[in-house]
Amino acid sequence: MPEYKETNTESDKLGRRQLLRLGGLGLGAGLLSRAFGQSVPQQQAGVDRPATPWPAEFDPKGSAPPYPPRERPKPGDKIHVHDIEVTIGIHEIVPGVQTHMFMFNKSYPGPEIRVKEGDWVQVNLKNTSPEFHTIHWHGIMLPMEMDGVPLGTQWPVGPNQEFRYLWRAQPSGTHFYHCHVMTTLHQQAGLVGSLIVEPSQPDVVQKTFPYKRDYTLILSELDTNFVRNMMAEMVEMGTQMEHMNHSPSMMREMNGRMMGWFKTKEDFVKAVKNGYIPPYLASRTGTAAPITPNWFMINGKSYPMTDPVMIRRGENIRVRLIGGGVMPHFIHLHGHDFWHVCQDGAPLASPVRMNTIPIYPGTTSDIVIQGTNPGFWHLHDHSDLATTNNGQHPGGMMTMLMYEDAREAGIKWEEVIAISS
Amino acid sequence: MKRTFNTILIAMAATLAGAQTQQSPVKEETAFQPQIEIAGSGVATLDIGREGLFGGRGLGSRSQINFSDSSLSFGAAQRLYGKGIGSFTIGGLTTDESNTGRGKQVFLHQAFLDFQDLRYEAYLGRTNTPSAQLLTFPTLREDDLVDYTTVANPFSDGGNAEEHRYSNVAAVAINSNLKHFVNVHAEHQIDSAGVSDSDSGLNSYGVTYQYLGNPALTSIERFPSYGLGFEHRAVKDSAGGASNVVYAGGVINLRPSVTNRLDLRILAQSSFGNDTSALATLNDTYRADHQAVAVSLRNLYSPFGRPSSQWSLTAGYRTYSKVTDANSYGVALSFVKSLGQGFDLVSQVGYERRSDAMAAAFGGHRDAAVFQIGLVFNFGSTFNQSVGPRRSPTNLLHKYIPN
Ligand SMILES: [Cu+2]
Repeated sequence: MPEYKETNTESDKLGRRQLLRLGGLGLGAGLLSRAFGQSVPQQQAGVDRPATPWPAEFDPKGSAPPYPPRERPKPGDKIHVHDIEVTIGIHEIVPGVQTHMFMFNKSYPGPEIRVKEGDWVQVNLKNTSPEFHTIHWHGIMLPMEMDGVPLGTQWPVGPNQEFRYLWRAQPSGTHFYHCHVMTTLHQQAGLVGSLIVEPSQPDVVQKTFPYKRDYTLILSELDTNFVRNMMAEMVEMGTQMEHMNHSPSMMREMNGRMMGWFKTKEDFVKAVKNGYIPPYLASRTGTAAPITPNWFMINGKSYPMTDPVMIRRGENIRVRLIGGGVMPHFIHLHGHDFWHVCQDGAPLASPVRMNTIPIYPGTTSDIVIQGTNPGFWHLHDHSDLATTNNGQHPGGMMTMLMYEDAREAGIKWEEVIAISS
Repeated sequence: MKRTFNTILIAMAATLAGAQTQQSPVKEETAFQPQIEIAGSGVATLDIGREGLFGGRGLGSRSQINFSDSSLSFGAAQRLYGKGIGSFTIGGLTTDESNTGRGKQVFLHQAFLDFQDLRYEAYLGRTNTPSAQLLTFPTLREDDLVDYTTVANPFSDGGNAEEHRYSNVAAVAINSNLKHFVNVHAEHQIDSAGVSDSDSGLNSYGVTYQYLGNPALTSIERFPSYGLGFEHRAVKDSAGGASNVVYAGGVINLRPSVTNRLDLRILAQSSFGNDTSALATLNDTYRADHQAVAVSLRNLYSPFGRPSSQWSLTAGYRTYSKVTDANSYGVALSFVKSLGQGFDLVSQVGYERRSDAMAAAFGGHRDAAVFQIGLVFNFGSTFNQSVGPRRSPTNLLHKYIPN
């Protein structure tokens, strides 16, 4: 292992921070920042000082990748190979509500990828849908060419094309992956999945809150009208292009003119002069309405079809919350406080005690729930616009924390529990 | 003219509002609102050199400022408890001032209820005449060269070209894979000439087969749509007896292209069974046995995949089997330039010529020529959207779902 890695091991740093916490930290620092300790630094003349001083041991290199990101695998390195295929399929959110979606391996959300920090991951992306896709590895420190941004770091992967992603899993923590082609549509329309990088060193969360069960909850929303209209537009264009691929003369027609792709800003400006009408000037999206989600989901399902989170008295469970949509959500647990332990993958300087945690789009928060109050408890977005199905409450982003041993604790749950819709 | 149209709109609005106060046998939940659609088309042209014959029938007053074929329709639709969609559409269309138009300048061209699910569609009310709308031609207005481009209504007195294109229809359509459609229908075609044989009011029965390709590939597939049909029309014996018609037509992509497409439309029809042997009125020209063909060559230029301009040359010819030397032909050269989304500059040169035997039915006019220039605005909006179309590219490629 290179020296670089030795001195920057995530869990190493975290171990230190954990000790700092025990030295008496405030609670406010950890919520959105990655890493703040709180011991008092030496005052420096001419330096703007924060109201709450930064810790002396704060490491400004702490956000650097543990491994040099542009390294390639050496012979003998472990490589996890995943085959991921993108298709169009039908997903059922609740009984009676189906929608066409893009899917990673025919599932929504896509399969969870779980690897150890430092391991190599090879993903063979195969696109058998009529549209273009990529995969962006959200939160991973990888070589630019593997970042999955179409027309930014790679050409989008066309129908019946394949692309091989190869990167080293770093840093550890809860991350996710999603398609980056027309993200507004493609991620909403299904192309999202969780990506868990387990620490190579002992896990500070595990050490502090020994746990066996670990849940991943991807929070997302869907505007069925938007997805239907936009997907029809995209499928139409993809189907056209697929047919044009079989004719050399029609392939020449495609050549950027149809797609609105230009090599440089100057080319784009010239095309506009020559009659190219950019979509923002005249809508070709098939929808004139703003995107207004009518479905709010946890792992692709809305209440009452969401999976419950199971716990037992005395047990710690780790729940990984992923902001996989376009709206913030405020996840609230009844009857308990929980510990916010990691943000965007990285352990906080100190766990933060709370009962409602905001999950913004693109962020991940890990919380630890402790089995201290047996029963059946709502776990839901407290922005209750999102606890609706097609505008009707109850529904949406809501599930239950359920004690498996509630009966032993003397709770007559049969008398109160019912599924409502 | 405008005032009349507005009056009609207000009347329609009042009707809709009135309908809401009526009691539904089933309690309605106010939380659920149907999808509402509005679609319209404004067409106005300046017509020069027109002898009141081209397009219009030349029986009423003539105006060189022509706003006919402008339309506005409202629709309401919703998902039903099963997997079907229920909808209602109502709409009006301006008629040509040179048509008598029954003294009305707005013709109710749509007022029907529709039920559809994956396999079946049933509709009832005033709507497109199935036999007359197998395909539309790219003339400036849909009823330009109507004598060739649609199957004529043998009960019409010619006062209103809309009578060929719209009628009261009861139809059931069944499809296979949302691509092959068979439509079985009974109709009351508007009997302005009073030659219908029927007491029930149903004077026309027919069946139409239609193939509709994937809408994503209409510029690419060689034969994106085609169809054929048969119609039996109960014309009373004193007017020559029942008239039957067979017709077939379709679109051929001569140069499939999404940026510079060249296509050809053809419609051929032959009517038989009616004994009319002289053409004295316009009605005679619709029900007397005849053969007609319409052909249209069109170039659609869409740089960057977006329609920019179109020109088309449409020609039609018809001849009568039981009337000696009765025939006519018409041509139209049409041009459209897109000025913006749905807003077009349009222009057309048209010419029609009739044989002597034919001209008798047209007040002796043997020919007519017209130059037209004007503006068209096609628009539409959907409110409270909740219903997707059956034939979306996604449904066609990836299994239909009621969504
Ligand atoms: Cu994609």
